Amino acid sequence: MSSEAFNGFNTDTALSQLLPGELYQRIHVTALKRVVRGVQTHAVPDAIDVAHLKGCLSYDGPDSLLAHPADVERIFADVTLDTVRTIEHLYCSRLGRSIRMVWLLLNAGEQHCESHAISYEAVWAICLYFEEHRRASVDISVERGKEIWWLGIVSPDITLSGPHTPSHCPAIACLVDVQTQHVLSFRIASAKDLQESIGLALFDALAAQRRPQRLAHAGLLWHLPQRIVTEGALPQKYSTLCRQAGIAVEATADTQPVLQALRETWAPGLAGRMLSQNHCALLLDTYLSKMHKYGPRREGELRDRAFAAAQGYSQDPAWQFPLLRLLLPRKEGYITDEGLITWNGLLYRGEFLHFWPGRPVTLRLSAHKPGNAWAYLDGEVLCLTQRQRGNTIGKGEMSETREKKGGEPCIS
Amino acid sequence: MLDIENDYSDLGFEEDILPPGQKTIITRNILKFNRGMKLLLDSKQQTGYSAIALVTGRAGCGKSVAVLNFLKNLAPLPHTGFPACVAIRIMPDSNPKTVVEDLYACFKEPPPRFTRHQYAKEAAKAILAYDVKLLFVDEADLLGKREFELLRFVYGKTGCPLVIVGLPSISTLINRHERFAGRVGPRIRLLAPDEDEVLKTILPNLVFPHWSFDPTSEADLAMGRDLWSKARSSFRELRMLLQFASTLAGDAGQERITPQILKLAYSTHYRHAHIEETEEEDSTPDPQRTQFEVDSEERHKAKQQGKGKGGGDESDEQ
Repeated sequence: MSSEAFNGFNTDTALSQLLPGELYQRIHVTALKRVVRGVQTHAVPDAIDVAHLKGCLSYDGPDSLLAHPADVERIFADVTLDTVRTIEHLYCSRLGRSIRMVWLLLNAGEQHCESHAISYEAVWAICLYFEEHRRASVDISVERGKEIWWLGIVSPDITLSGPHTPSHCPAIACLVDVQTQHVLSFRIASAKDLQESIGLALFDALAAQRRPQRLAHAGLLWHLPQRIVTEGALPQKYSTLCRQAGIAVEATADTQPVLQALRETWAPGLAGRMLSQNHCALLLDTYLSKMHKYGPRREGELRDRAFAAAQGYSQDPAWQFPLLRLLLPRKEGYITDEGLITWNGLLYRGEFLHFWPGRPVTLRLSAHKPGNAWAYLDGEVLCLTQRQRGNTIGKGEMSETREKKGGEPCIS
Repeated sequence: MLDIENDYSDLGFEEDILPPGQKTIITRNILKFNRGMKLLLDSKQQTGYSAIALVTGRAGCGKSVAVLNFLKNLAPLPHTGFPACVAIRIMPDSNPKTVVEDLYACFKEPPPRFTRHQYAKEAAKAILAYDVKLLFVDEADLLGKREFELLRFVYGKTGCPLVIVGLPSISTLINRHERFAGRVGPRIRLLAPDEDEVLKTILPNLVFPHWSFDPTSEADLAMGRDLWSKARSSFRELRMLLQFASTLAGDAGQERITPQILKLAYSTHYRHAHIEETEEEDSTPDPQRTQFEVDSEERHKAKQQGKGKGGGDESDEQ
């Protein structure tokens, strides 16, 4: 927020002064040049005709992008140095807020302290002006491999039960590296939550591919497979995400030897048993580790220990690689009058929530840190929230415990 | 993939591994032990409740052999690759760390790095990870207070039945640990085999070079009774006497172990030495004795005579 909005009073300092008109003009022209080059074209203000600008640029040169000083003054009305700094802070973060969200936040803050609204075009222009800075904040280093991953579902004849969950038959989503026959990740959930567990299995497998590298963005290099083959169709939202990440997706009716071994050896050994989810995960990981030389959770623990000191490695993978957030479980909540998000009797606190009391929000629960969740307003990321402990409403402590169990990695 | 047969052999101690050709002799103790273990497993499966069993018996009565025999007959579980029951043997000067390390060794796995506050948690994790249905703790009379607390935690956390195996004195030791004693259910006392079982089951099935035993022959039965009385009702002592008798018979070129060879074997056993000496004073020297035995006997007699004269001169003896 601007310091005015944050402190709740107008400060008469250099930060609250308007900038020279030439600087506004330079910001605006830079933004227009960038949009003509195809940067952030989806966020262009309605008043700007990109096709017309392209024509002007080719016929009349760069000077044709200059706006009339009166128009610049109108667009950048009430934009101070503090506003520019605030926009930079909100936009150039690994959280990856959109230009529209930055504008909403800025105006919500300004309304809060009864100031004038700042035009969308001004915010858009300033955001594009900081585009390089933004890229440095959100970019990731990717290494594309030739691996093929295979997604299969194993449904053992066992019953999972827990103190806070009703008994159910599980479906286990497993992601296999076809070449090594290693199960890269697995997630156990009830059959009705299969889509969620597929997303989490993909998340785990992708997160397990990150390696510390000194020269990479945020100190991490992400290794992505070439293709994901699925036994049955992959849910549309995950297919879209894979394509965005440059991973081809295809369906097949075939299977892999390691999945066959799980179905024919591991699952019959447990047939008819009643287990807790953690115990089931422990047994599966042990079996994979002993019989197939790779237990994803054990290997993950070893990796975490080995790379604990590496820059950025211990941070939430979804923070480092924003696209991964779309693989996390999605929950619908709303903002309370106190500026907290409530979902399933749990309360989450985060920045700027008090601007929108009563509004519905979407939460994406972190798989790395169960108490964290990414909050989305109208489908756009707003902030990272933390669960407020010891202050639950509705279902009380019971709900907290249940959700904790559901969100936590099985082997602590 | 795991080589279960070879891996399994590492679970036991060399002392407990039977020599080639010797099969486990199914004694009443082993049957009683197996029944007790089956009861423990069935009870857990049918009722969901677990228990700690206590198996006691004098040294050499076959407790460890009963445990190993039980483990030997288990097939590996398909979903873990390991048998459902494992045994750890408590080492001298053991502590919780060594107990957890022994447990991980059962699964051919190096123990994870853990602090002393995590021993119990890691032990419970291993039990759950390998789906262990029964954990035997052999030579449990060497357990200390902290190890008892560790086992109690593991039992409580995993619900895995424990079988504590040790000398009869372990009952007193356990009773000192109230929280542990309160969880002990079946108490199985392994008794020394009686003469009838020794003559009909054990001696005919023992495999040693030069040893043969016919339970229908009166001479063999008499030799067997004598042997059992010298073994002082200990299976292990019986085996040791026959072990040396077999060697002596081989040295003497005898086809089979005779009562005379057995007498010689008794004399090698310190517990019976004085008995044999008094008996041999009246008997003629055995032509089959080795030179070492003759020399040793003479030295011993000279020493005894020296003592009889009122202490004697040590320098003379030397």
